[in-house]
Amino acid sequence: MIEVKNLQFGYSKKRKLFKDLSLSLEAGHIYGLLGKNGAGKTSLLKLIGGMLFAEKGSYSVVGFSPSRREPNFLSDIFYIPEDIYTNDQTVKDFVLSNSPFYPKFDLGNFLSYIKEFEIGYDEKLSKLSFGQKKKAIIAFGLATCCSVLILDEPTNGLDIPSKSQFRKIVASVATEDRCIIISTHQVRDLDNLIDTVIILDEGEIAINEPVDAITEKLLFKTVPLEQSGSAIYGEPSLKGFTGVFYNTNNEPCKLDMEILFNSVLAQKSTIKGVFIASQV
Amino acid sequence: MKNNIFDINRFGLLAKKRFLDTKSTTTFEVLGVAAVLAIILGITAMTGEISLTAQQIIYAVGMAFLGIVYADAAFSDLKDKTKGMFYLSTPASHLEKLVNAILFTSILFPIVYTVLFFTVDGLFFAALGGSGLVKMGSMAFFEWDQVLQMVRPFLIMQSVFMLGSIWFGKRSLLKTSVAIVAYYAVLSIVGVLIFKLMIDDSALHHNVNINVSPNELISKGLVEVVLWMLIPFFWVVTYFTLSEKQL
Repeated sequence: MIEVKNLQFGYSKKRKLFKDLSLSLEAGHIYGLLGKNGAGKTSLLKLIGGMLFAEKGSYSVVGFSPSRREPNFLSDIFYIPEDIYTNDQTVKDFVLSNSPFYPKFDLGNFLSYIKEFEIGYDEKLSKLSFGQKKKAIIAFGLATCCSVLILDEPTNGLDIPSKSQFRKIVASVATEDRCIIISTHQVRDLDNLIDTVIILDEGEIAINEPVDAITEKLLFKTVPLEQSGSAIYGEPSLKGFTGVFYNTNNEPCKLDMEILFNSVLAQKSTIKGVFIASQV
Repeated sequence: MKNNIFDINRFGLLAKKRFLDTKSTTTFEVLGVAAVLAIILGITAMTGEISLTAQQIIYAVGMAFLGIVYADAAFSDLKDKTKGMFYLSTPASHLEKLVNAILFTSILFPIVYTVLFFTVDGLFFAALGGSGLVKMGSMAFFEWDQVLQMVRPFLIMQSVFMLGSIWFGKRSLLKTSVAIVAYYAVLSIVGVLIFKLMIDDSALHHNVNINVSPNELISKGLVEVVLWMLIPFFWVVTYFTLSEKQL
């Protein structure tokens, strides 16, 4: 669905953000895109969405070249940026003016999403708080039923109940023919939502693995401080030492995204090695 | 799958979207322009006369000034990253977006402005013209020939400012104005230099009176064609600038 090969991109000629980035994303998945500030998450999403153009390399999204911004491509992809813009119109007018561009738009679904988010159909967007506006746009994006849905920091500005509603709704729209990419700093917001983790670091994909594959190879657990020696990476916690270990005995565990993220940044080659070895 | 270059239904949707998105601000803008026209005509009326010439000047200056401002706002969404992303990701082709901007700035704007001006002016004429307090020329004698002469320069200026609104982004109105002034300054200098080279040096030193207009050096018909061609030329450049816009 999304194929990126040997992509080169930078905001200046001297400093390249991506030198040789390759990535393949399939339908039927919810991808969590993680990375430090300035790692290039938003730039990568913008490249996929056709807002930025690569200098070198090839990339296609649902069979289209994003940089051409063809209408048939734009009507099958919905990009929700971190900051959103709405003008002085009601939610209803917003839907009336924008939904006809999306052939698969489902008004029934949209109404159920805004009901879940507690937003009125006749409310003026300009009178809503930032979080509410964002929820209205997220609801619209989900209701477009586009093949590719890109959400850049979707939970920024959402209160705690809204984050939970967001996870519930996104999980409900994940279908076999859809690819959802969520970029965030707030890794805990993606708990139990994403099925594949992509970590971007220093202009390259440090990890792009399904959650199941990660927990099959790596064990996330809290142990007494004295057992911390065998950890690949870890941090002292109230209960002792929370870290990531080699899962040699196939122990079931829950992915701790924050620990995984920090371990990839601290021990990138070791973590990458675990998955490369499993592929060989 | 629909045509990716131009689809009339999608173009209609885009026009409808623009209307729905801006209807409240447009209403205020129309009322604002009507109020400004009324104030200007009111101030002119205080002299005891609103001549036909004065009315024509107010109409022409208003059309030129507001036309430029409106053309500069044609792609105002692109001046802001967030707004621009919503604009660029709207599922319509670049050609549809450009033609839509031309429709609103170069066709609908002059029509709405003309209707608005004649409505306000007509109300003044009805209220003051017959009272005898103010002498007011009837717009029935409006010289449309002069208005039609404005069409080409008006469209050229609009196409330039429309391009400037994408090219320069923020403060595009000022930057485009400066660019036009700079362009004419350079053109004048180059023109003088070429003219000097064309004329024999000795002629200049023997008090020979040379009276040649630049237009006489080139055929008048060709100048006409070139000037009309400037409009689609700037539209084409605007199209490619829009296609290559990154945010």
